[in-house]
Amino acid sequence: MTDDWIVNALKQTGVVESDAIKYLYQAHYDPLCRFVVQNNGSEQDADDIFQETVIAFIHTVKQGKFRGEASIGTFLFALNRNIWRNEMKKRGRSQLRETKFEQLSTRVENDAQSALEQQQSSHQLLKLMDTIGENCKKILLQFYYEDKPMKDIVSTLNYENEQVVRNKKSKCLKKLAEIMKLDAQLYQQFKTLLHE
Amino acid sequence: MSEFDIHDTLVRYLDGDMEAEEKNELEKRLDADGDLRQQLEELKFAIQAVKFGGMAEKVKGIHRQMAPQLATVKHSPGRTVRMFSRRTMSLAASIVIGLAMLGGWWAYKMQAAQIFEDHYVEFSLTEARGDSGLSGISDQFNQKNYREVIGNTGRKDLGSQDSLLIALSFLHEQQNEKAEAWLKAIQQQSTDHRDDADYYLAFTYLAQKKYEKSYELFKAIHDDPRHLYHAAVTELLLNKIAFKTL
Repeated sequence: MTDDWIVNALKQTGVVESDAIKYLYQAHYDPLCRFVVQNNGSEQDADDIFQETVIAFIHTVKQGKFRGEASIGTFLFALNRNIWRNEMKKRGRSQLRETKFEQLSTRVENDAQSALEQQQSSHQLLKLMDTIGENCKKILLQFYYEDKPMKDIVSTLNYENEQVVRNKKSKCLKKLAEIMKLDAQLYQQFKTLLHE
Repeated sequence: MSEFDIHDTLVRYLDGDMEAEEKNELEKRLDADGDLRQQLEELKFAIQAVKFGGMAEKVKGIHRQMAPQLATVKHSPGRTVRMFSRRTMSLAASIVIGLAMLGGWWAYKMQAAQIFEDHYVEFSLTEARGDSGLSGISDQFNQKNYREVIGNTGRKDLGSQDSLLIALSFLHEQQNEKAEAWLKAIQQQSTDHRDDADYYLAFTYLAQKKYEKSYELFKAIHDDPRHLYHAAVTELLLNKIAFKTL
């Protein structure tokens, strides 16, 4: 699979996107995890950091901010390293043995740093999504993320008709919007994360 | 127009579910009304959040699905031996061969509990970082407080993952009949965790020394390339259990 194919696939949803994510795991999981383990991380740390790296990378791609100046592997490496470095700082551990690793161009480093900053508020955003309730979450995800037609949502979630789902979706979106702006500081962070 | 109607109109506008005439009218109102523009921005922002959340959940799902394969990668001897010299590898090979010749070794490895320990891959709860859910069961499970997890069995708000964690906690506590009952229920009721239930039910049968049932289920997983745990069920595992059925 070429980098171009992966980037295009990650801009979509559905099976194509899933295939690309699986490919990222198959191709990059082992070397990136090894980096974390070699730098004072446990296997669980490595596993968690890799997952966060993939989420931050896909978000960068979907926002059109992955410029392809470095290969996907190189970009993931920089991102994985920055996320782990940040985690180490939080834990008050020593610096990474960075001399072992190649220096990347300033622009690639900046892009990876930008993706890292976005990653930090993503956990809080996901927690907020949970507070709107399971049914709300399902309707919104199916409609806006999975791009499912209303009639399919009616049948998969066992609602009476499309109008009922439309009303429910509208209320759920309002609820999420209201919850998101409750904390002004968090709201600004989310804006940075989601700003396109 | 009521507050709900305005909100609903904005949502229909964002969804592209509006006739041209109504759309033009709304855009005129948006030009003139800052508060309305603000409401629209907030809704747009919420939709972006949903899309981000959907993507992150998908990655977590794939991460969980691939966990058995990834665990295999991490523990693969092929990955580790590269770190050592050829001489060390030769020495290690000799030691392994020597050990293999010990008469008791095979019998030991073929005990049900040992097969279980050699091949069991723990359910991965990576979402515990920053997404521990509302039930708290994930946290208890992560902390290996299996008895506390089991204490949630009477709750009415259990999701399918909660049920799976309860089943696995029964398994960890060697209450295998209860683990079996919970896993069977998940197989029937959950689409999200059906494959997880298959895999862990096969281990539950193994723990109960119900070798034929265990083999049957592991074989089905092994033969189905679309099954989430397809790669985790190796020929070696199948052969060991087949041997126990003799």
